[in-house]
Amino acid sequence: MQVPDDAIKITDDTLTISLTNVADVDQFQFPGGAANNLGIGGVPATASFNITYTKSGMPRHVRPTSADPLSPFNWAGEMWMATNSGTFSLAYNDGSFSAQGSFSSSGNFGEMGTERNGSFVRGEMETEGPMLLPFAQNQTSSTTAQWTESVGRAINSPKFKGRVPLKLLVH
Amino acid sequence: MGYTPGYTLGTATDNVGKLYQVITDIRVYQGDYIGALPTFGGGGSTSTKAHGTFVEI
Repeated sequence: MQVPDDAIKITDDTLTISLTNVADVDQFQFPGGAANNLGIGGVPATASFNITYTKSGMPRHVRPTSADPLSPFNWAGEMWMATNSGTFSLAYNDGSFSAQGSFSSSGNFGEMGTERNGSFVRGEMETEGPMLLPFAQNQTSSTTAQWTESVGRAINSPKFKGRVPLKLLVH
Repeated sequence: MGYTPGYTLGTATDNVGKLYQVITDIRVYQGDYIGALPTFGGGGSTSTKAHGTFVEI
């Protein structure tokens, strides 16, 4: 969802996002509905949360290794490993359920930085040339062959791929 | 585009006192992007550069 720019505060080493009573849908199934789309089912809800991400270590520099605009290798950036912590609350709009709690990265994968893809990175591969690098397991946003510099290459498992339905995570 | 994905682990308590384990994947993006501007009616669009902040919950 799009949020106001001032919902996030960025410093040299941290990013904090604060949202209050954001309209959301508790999607029971993913994908949902008979056609496996995302538009069916779920319970209207509102969520509030405050999370701070903090950089750690040195950045790694990622270069595009594919010119295919649909390739996951078609991006460049500067990324740091990151930890996070925060609090949240949520409530179904019909009042049938609500919860509140806190969380942290707890050793799981997180990263932050700047990146560009698509037309924003076009031409960089031609300029700098392709770069094939050692495979690093358990990456998510950074793909294989995109590590040019690493800071400890943490073991980042388990990881979810893509979005995870809220209902599956709250039992 | 700034980019911050992060997996989180934690606990929550609901309105009847039941305890939950919570695992989330929350991503934040802020920056410039190429989006679609409604054009010509009938669902038509043209590409245009824009700036925004987005969150995936």
